[in-house]
Amino acid sequence: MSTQLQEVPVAKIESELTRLLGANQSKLACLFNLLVYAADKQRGKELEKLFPLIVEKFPCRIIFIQDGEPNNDVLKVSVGTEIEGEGNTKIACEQIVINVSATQLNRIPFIVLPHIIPDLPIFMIWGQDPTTENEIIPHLDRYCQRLIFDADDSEDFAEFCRKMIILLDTHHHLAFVDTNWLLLSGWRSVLSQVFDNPDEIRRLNFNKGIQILYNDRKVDWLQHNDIRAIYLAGWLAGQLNWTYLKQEKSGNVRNLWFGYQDQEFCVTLSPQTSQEYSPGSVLDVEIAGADNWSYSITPMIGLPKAIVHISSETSCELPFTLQLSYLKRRFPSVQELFYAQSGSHYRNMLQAIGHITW
Amino acid sequence: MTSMQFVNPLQENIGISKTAGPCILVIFGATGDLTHRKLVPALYNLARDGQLPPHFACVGFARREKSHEDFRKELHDAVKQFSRTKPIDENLWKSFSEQLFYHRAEFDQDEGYDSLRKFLAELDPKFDTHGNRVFYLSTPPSYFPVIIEKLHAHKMIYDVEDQQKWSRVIIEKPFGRDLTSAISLQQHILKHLDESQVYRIDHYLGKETVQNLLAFRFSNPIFESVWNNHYIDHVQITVSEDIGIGTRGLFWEEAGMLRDIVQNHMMQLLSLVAMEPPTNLTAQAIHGEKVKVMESIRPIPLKQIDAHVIRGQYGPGFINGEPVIGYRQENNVSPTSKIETYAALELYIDNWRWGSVPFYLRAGKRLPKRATEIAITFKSAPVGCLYQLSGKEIEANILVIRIQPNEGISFKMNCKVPGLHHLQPVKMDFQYGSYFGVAPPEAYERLICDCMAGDTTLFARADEVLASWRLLTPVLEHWESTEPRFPNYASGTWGPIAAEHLIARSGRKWRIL
Repeated sequence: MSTQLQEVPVAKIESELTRLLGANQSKLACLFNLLVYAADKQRGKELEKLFPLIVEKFPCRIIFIQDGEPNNDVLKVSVGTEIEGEGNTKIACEQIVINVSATQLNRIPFIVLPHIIPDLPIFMIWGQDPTTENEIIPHLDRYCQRLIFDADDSEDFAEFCRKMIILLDTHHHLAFVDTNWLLLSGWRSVLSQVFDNPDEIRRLNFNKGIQILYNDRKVDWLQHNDIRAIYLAGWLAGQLNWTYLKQEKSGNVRNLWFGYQDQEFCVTLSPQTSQEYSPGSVLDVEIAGADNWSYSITPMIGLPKAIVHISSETSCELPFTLQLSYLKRRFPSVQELFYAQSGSHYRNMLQAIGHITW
Repeated sequence: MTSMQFVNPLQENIGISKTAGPCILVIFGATGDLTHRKLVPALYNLARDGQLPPHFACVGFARREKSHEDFRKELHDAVKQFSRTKPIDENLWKSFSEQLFYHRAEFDQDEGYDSLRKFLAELDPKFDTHGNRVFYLSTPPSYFPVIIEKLHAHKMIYDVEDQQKWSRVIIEKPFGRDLTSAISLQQHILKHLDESQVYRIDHYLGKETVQNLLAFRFSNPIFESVWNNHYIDHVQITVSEDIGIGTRGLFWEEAGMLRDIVQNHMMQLLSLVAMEPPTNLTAQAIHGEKVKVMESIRPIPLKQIDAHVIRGQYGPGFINGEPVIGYRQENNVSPTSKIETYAALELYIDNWRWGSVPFYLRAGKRLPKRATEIAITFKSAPVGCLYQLSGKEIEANILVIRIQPNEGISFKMNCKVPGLHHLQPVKMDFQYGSYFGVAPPEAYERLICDCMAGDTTLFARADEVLASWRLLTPVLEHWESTEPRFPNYASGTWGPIAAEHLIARSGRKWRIL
């Protein structure tokens, strides 16, 4: 339950929050500070859907910076509280919303900093390509422990990969969390369980072709439906030391060519429209492995599982199922958003596909 | 490259939760209460949270005639009623229930084990469970020896050196009735199992608040630096229940509070509070430190048992304003029963950290409220210093770890009253429910998952169990040989007056919870 946002002068933010807390007769709870930046209204609307999910699991103070005000010189601050629970466990989480136009962005860090709750972690959800220059991050990132973003926001994917690697290498205090990478964790887990011994890895390395189907259902919050498919291909390449050679586009189909030792093979990213699954999710993976082994991994309808068929010219193994998460979800779980680590696989993936352009 | 040396380049190992290995879980006593109320709801929630191994099946082993479908239907109703998450996800249940099977057999007949082995061998390729087995003995303890023996005889318990597959056995408390029976049970177990294959469940260890004890102690240096006899006056550990024995008269007449609660749950809590920091968080390191604590507890002098251990039995009284009957009036209880429903102990740990700090333990039924907590009372400020007012002693700081209900941690300290030259005790309070939102996983979810993952940290090791029996068996023998004057406390009160005297003679008093 949210209370109505009240517009207040900047100097009255804390006193108004205190008054609201008293009026609600609930206990203040805060595990961390969450700074959320939305570059435009549309992105803001999407990110606001996350707030109740976050607060339900992890009460926090949310400072929401909504950029994209059409008029110049806009800087409006509103405050409110999100109430969760009942009785003894009724708690309030504070929200500070700052509506701002581009000309006033330079004031934001100075408004935000005094309202950080001391001694608690600071996490940022960045609704923009974090590698593009902006007036906020350089002032705040030194205080933050975690930067959560969506790579779909980037305009130049190759540039994003290059700059992201630099950020990963220079900002060791920051955990960078790419939501598309998290949403792919189910597929990465499945593939690591299917290819879990030297023979299977060899068949994968010397494959005759890989097809990754992804959901190209169009929605206003996703620019590049194939981003997770590209990530999946890049992850395999990064972990298995494939060399990116070139890409070919044929309509909406993207063919990525890789080399491994003296072999070349193609990873085809093909769109398919699905109403069942979330836009951008990977729908199917087919691998023509070495020695005529073939691997088909398909989600089971209605269940968070994938069914795996493995066969060769002379044998056909019994199909089996593996847990496959995140096919229907817009966002990763809040536990993963705030506690998962990206690890070296993410960096290796970016390195492997750093030349791919949208 | 051998399979032992292979490192999968696609495996990431940075997940935020543990994943268990493929296996078949066989529950002996599958038609019983524990399976319906705890075990299968736990498995269902593990499946719901994606923490059940991808290759998994569960077989219920019991004597009653039942089909797979009957069994699944019963469990569906049980999960609907007892799962911590509601409503039941019918899609998920449909898929999950296809992994549930029923095997009818007698615990002591070879035919049942022979057919079980064959059935499990059929399930292995279907569910890709690699021959791995977990056997959960949800039966009366008298069946443990025969079940383990039969499993071993029918080759369902593997050699611990077997690299291809593994087998584990989970047993529920009580682990024996006294030291002799516990040793006998342990010897029987070790004839057929390696200690590493034995998982003794104490469900308290699966509670998040109990797991938090170590995290709290060893990630907050401010507390660890005062966690010793220089600063701590005494420790109180309380397990209080407002309910009576209910329908468990038969069980309770054989058990009593010392066996049912003190010997296992309370000794585990005591060891977690008192242990030294382990060298790492492996099971071995933690168990090692817990055993050291248990072995450092000063034995209760045989001639002074009554001075250090108080027993009680509830009589009629009032709970929540409603009249209730006494223990001896409960069903299946002898009208002259000597069984205790309350126990209070004064213990000392003879080591550098805890020398001269008394540990007061109390556990009882039909007390005024349900609460389990650990209270660390610190030494008061020196007399005569700054804030001694009107000769009144300043209130001591108390750190309270609430295990259940209202899970959390509070710290009592003194503050000045505005406008007056007076001190007022105030409390800083952290509540799990407020900060961490929805209900945490149930203890059995964590424990079953840990067993499947091969992690023994949250299970009781044999030497811990035997150490606590060594301490408490003389008390049980003394009680057997003496006549108590029961009942000696009314339901709804905080126990017998003798328990008040136990702590009062050192100038202290029990906390009112």
